[in-house]
Amino acid sequence: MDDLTMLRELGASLDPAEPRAPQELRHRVNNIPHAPARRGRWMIMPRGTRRGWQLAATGGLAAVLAVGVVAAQLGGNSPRGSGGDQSSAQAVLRLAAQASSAAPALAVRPDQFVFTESQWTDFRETIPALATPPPSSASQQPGATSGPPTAAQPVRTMRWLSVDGTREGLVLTAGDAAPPPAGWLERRVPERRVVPPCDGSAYGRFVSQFGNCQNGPAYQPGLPDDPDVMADFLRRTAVLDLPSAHPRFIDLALFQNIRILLEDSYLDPAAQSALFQAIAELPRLRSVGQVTDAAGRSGVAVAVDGFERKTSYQLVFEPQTGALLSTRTVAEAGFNPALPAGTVLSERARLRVAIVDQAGQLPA
Amino acid sequence: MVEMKLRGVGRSEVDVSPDSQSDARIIEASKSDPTRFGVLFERYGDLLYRYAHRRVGPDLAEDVVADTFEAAFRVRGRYDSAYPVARPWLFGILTRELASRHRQESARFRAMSRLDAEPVAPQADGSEQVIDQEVARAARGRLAAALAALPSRYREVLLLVTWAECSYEEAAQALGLPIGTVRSRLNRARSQVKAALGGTNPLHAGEL
Repeated sequence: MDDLTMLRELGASLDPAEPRAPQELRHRVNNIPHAPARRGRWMIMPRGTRRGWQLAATGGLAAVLAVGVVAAQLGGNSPRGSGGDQSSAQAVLRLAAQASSAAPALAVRPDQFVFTESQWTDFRETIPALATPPPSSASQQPGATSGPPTAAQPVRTMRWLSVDGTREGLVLTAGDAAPPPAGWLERRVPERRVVPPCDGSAYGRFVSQFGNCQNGPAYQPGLPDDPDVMADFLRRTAVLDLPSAHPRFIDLALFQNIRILLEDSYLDPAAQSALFQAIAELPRLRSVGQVTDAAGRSGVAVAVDGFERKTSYQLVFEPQTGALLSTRTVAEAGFNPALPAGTVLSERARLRVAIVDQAGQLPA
Repeated sequence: MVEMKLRGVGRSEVDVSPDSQSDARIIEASKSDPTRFGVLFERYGDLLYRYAHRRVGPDLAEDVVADTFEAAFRVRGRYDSAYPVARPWLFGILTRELASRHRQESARFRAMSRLDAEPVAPQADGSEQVIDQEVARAARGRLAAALAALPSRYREVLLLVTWAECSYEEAAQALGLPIGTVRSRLNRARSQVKAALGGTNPLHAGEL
């Protein structure tokens, strides 16, 4: 057998199982003529090349009204993948960006702490329980219900993270008195955890997600206030986390970094505005519609599909003010047969953000 | 009416019946009616997807082909209507899209070479068929390693000719190269692959 024949046989062995291109690809290509001109994926835009829409310098009232209109448009759960999904999500993010840019900036010193208080839910720790037989009636806790889990148990969490990442932080997690649903393990207990300082590297917080360090700067002055530069920043930090990884893992790391910025950090209003505008350009962005967050508040959600579309990452905004309410990860079809699509896997519903002088100190 | 079907894996589904509109005319029509561009996907989408699937695997192939058609749609105004068949043009764009994923492609080939290099427990009694399978598997690993090590300018030509079933002329058009350059790069690519394979059985050696 000669080299070309061997090569052809190797090629044939790598063919897709189905000779036809996937239906989803067909759908994507057919939509190309109807799609607005946009960047196909994350890339550095030439300086001076700006997206068509920019935030208008309008007052807060206009922003509130406009967000309200969008919220009304998004009433009810819009079907996934339906036409206009992405543009609706982009509209929500633009107006959230507008609301962010109108918020007052907090004064921050390097020796202070970023305080965040949130309602936190996390199903991921308990998912292995789905593979085990349901507990016997004797071992069930009083009040536990049968059937598949449909709701998480929110836990109140307070975090104090060093502004410059050089001081010990603190995480307080309150246990929840309510019993977990049947078949679920409740592993969380009231916890007091000291977060050691990091090495102070510029990207320490991002790298920390992969085990290198625990505490980076919770506030980074000088984050980009330009959406394109912010997009480039997120991309570079994601690649820094996962060099030479699969591009979809890069997208995953990129969104993880977005979550870190939004969940554990204080962002200048201009940087937060740029961040929302950058998210609006993410591939696979779609609107979700009305949801209720872990703190029981109504909001409108936008989503970016995660790796293999088995999960989505969602941001929930207050419909009247455009304020960010929560960030969450949601199971999609195919994530786990025991979990219906739409199950919230983890969520951080943000209640308060403040700057304080000491770890453990509550804001006034 | 006689319907012609071109030979080979890469062409079996291409309708080039005389009464069908040429690709060039479809592209021209798409300037005033963008939805006409979808005809090109109906003609070549499966071929491009299959080629991309071979090169970068299922996770990336879909994105690569979608990006290819998005780029093609964007630059369709510059299509040279002197070429009635757009297949080489599309493979050229696909090649550029693949080039931006060359690290992932090389990593995939390296992974394949490692998998195929690992010994596996014999499944039968050492019959000739089993031995042949083992030899083929080991050769496949060396072939994948050779592809990973090939400079991209050689790899592109080699795979367009063998996996996309492009003629030398089509490969030259796709890559924007003189046909002599395509021939010389193909020869060099084959020399490197043969060296990596440790030579081929002279009784079965063939030429393109």
